Amino acid sequence: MMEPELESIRIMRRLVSGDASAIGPLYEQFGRAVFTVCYRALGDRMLAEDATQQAFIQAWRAASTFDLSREPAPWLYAIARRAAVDVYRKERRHRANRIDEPEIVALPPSFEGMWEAWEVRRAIDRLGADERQVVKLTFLHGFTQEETARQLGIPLGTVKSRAHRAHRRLAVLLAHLREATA
Amino acid sequence: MNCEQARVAMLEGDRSSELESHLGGCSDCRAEQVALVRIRETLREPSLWEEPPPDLAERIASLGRAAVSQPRRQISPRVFLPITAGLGALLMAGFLLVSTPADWEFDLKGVGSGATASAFVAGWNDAEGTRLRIEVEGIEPVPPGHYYEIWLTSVDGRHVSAGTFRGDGVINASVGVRRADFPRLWITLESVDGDSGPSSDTYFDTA
Repeated sequence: MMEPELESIRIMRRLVSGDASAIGPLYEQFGRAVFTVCYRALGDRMLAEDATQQAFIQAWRAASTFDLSREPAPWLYAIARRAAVDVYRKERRHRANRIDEPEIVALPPSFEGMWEAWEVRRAIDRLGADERQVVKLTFLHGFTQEETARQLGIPLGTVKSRAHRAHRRLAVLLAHLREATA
Repeated sequence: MNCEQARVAMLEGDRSSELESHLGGCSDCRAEQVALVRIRETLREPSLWEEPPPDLAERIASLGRAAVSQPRRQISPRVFLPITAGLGALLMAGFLLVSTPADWEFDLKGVGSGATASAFVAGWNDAEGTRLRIEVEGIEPVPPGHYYEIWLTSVDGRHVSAGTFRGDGVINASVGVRRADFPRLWITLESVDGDSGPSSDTYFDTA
């Protein structure tokens, strides 16, 4: 399998040259991250789907201005965030008209930390399925390693080694977030 | 315990004395502690694990097929209306958040690498120079070792920095020159390289 970075560059080359069929592969690469940040910001699956679709349409339209010497991920993230902002404001205006609320002028806190969420989601997607499953059970469900082992029906030692491997990989994949904060 | 092991241990939520001992003697790892705690918190967020519906991939792929027959760079009303309304909301935000009406304000269009971004600028002329409030949307987060810088430039080409920032949001700045003398307002991506002048990597520009 091609490295995700190389694959992303290859896809962006196709988009920049006007190949609209590259939108599908672009979604395969980034769709989960786009959906995750939109859902996180908007708190509603339907709105998140709408924002995700808008983001990919906008990415296609803006692709001719994309600088191929840059990384695609921050570019697409910026488009996704803006699509979520647009959907949020449209939804608030719709609700304001319906129940006579004042116009909302500020974004809610759910729009903070979106870049970090994007990067963490992309890192999770790059873990192996077994590692991702262990990380999900421990972080999302709060399982201990013993509970995770029982849940998955595998030895405790296997859970420990998968967890350690996953954390080591996450630490490497998210090193730039640590450096930006340090 | 070395630094790599310490970072993994922090990510795992380890509270062992071995880790504490390492942190006690390693300023690099102590500096990264906050970021690793935030990453742990992000991993606990249910939204982070949410999966898009399986049919969304096909819907987006079909949008791609439909896009072949549409010219590029033409924003549909469905996309354009929220953007214009969003700018209207920004105008309202500027009005509510700043008690004194601005002396001047305008939309600042993204250029070059910032072509998908937009900004709304409000300015006040005062005795010390100029106060600025800039709302930026749709700009890429800066890569490590970089920052965005706001510039005012005079008609004879002198540059004055009005401040720096790292991504989307509201930037309040104050600069000791009059906008009438420094009419060009632009934003560049800068690297931490010791060069105090503007780079050629322009994201926004009134010029």
